[in-house]
Amino acid sequence: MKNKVDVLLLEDDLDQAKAIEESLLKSGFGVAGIATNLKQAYGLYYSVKPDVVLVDIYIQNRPDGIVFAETINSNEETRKPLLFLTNIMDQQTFNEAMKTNPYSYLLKPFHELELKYAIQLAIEKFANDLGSLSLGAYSATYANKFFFVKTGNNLKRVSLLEIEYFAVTGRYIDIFTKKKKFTIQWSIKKLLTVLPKNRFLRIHRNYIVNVNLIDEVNTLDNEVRFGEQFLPISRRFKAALSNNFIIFK
Amino acid sequence: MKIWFVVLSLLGATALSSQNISLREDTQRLIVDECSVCRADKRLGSQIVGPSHNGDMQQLYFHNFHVHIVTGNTAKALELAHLITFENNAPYQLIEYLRGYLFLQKDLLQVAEIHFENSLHGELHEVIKANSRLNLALISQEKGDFEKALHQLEKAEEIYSRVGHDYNLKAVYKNVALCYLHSERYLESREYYLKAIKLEKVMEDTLGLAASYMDLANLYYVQYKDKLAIPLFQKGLDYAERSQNLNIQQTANLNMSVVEENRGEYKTALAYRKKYELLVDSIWNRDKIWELAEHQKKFILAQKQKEIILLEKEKKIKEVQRSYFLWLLVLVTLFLVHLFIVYRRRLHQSKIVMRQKQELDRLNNMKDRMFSIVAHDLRSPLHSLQKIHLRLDTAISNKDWQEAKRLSSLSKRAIRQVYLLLDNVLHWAMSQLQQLLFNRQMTNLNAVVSAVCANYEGVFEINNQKLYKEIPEDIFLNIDHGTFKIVLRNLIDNAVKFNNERGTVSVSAKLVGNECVLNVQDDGVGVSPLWISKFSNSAQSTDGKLGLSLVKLFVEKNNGKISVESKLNRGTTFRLRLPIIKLI
Repeated sequence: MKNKVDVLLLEDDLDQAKAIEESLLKSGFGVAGIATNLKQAYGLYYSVKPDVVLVDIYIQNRPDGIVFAETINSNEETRKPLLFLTNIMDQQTFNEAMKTNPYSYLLKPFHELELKYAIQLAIEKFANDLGSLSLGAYSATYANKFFFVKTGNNLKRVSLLEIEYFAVTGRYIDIFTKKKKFTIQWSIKKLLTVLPKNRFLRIHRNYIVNVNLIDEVNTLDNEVRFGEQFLPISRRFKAALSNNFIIFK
Repeated sequence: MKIWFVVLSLLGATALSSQNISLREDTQRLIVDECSVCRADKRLGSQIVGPSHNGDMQQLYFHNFHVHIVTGNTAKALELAHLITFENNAPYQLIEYLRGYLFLQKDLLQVAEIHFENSLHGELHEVIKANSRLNLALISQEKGDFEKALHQLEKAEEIYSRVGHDYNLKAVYKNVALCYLHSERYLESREYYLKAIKLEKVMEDTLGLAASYMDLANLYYVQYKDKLAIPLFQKGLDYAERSQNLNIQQTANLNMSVVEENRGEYKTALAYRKKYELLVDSIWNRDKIWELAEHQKKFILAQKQKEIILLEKEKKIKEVQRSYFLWLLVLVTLFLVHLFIVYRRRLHQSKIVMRQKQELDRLNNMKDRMFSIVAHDLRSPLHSLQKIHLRLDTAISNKDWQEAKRLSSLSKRAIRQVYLLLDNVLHWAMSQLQQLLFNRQMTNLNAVVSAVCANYEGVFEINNQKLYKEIPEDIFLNIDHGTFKIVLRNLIDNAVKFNNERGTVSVSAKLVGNECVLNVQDDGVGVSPLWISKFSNSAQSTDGKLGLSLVKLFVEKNNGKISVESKLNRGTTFRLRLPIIKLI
């Protein structure tokens, strides 16, 4: 699973689309797809499930960008943050566009840094956790089964499905997937409020595990195994673990 | 009772005075004895009793009837005289007597005579009977029937002398005498006058004596016995003067005057006559002095009334004057208000005209500015760009790559300048026409500053300058991207332009409370305080520099404040203060 934040682009001018894609990739984003008309945009939106949508207003001289925004806003379940990127400066179109409550309204020509921060802000706003990604190198936010983690200058996306366990190390929390490790500056208290309780379980004061991905539970040594990695089970949390599993002795 | 009767004779003329007739006290008492109402309650003796009183209506009528007669209210008494019947009442003789008395007072002699005669039938107190007879005698005398009068008087005399009613008896004697006189039976008349005088002397009735002596004198006089008459007249005069009664004095004096005149003693007669006239005057005076006083009173009252009316009129006039002044004041005030309103409207209109003129001036200035920008600012960099490209062509032909690289950088700089200029003009024109798209949204300051600085890559190297940027990543502002970028571009451009060779342009920000302080600093020659004050106070876009006036305009539009600090040869700092968005 790729850990890039995926952006869906709706832009009828291919040259400009290329330029935008280039900027996005430079900023560490993934491009989920480029739609050049409305129909294509709908198809991609529901198939690739992007994290952010970047939309031009006028598609083949029709304000299809606004139509698209209205359509995807109507379903709260599948809604994603949407940004307008346009060269339209007239007041009327602007007012129409603002009715769809976009996460940002950017004017061309744009600079890749502006685009990067606008997308980052859109994700923060979407997670209802404003400023969480701006605090420092290991900042992160959580929205809708995804962690968005800042690694260096780029933003990475981590799905709950791929997370094996969380390990607390001082002020930081390490997120372990099968292949990678991400460090975030979060408190365990905040983490526990965010995680779905049926999927993640605390087994130790320093470990929270994804019960679906556990390879082995050793009740004799009080250990849990993920691949090569063994994690201790403290006595305090053992009962909770036994309740979740039918353990054969 | 007795009719208080004084017969004044003036040379044989007899006058019947009915005005002074009144019921004497002893007679009143006799009436009260017969009245059942008075008997029941002694206190009611002289009071009118209302219909609420218990008892027979007729007895009530009788009571009120005699009370009215005694008090002299003849009109009410007459009303009752018709209502009273004889049944179940006081003795009808008494009622008839009172009726007779009442009609006699009204001078209805015939009717009075009938009633008096009725009162003589049957039982009645003899004094009242005597009274009836005396009154009948008086009526007969009036009619000239002296025989009948004498007959009645004889019976009355018998009763009065027996009971001892001297006063009435005296009246009887006098009337008998008068009757004999008129019948020319002088001897009998003289006898009765002497009887009356004798009685009056006992009673010390001076007035009566005066009258009696004069009557007696008159008796002699008509018999031409002047020698006997004159002393008696004199005596009558003496008594009259003693009595204080002016009327009798007057009569006595007149009598004396006539007597003296007839005797031929004109001087004496004149003296008496004068005295008589004097008395007439004094009587007149006595009567008139009251009238005069009344008149005077009325006159004074009228005078006062006139004064009051006059004062009232004056008051009215004053009121009219006052209301007139009030109206005048109101009118003047209204007029002034009207003037004021007209003046205000004029002022307002002239203000509108002024404003329109200013607007026109502004638009005209804007047009001039546009032309000057196009003519100069835009033309010259494009011209130099053209030159650079010609030289670039030559350099490429000569394969002088170093020169080509340098010229390319210069060209880039020129293009950037033209681009900024065009952007400035566009934004300025849009803002002047109120058509600028202004969309404040949450913006990361570092992103915007970085985006702007990215455009200056390569510029600093050409000028041997350095760009130093220090912006915290977590500053978020509520600003409009487009206008804020214009602000930054102009400030950095300005810094680059006025910086020293090998100088540094620094863009730094920090948080102070709820504000972000953004400094754009150079270490160039600096500006004069005069320039700073001019920059701070000048209205937007009037300054020569379009770029900096746009900076000021757009910073303020983004709710920011701008200030300038400068040290000569040390550099200039443009300081922006902007409200931040607080993150939780």
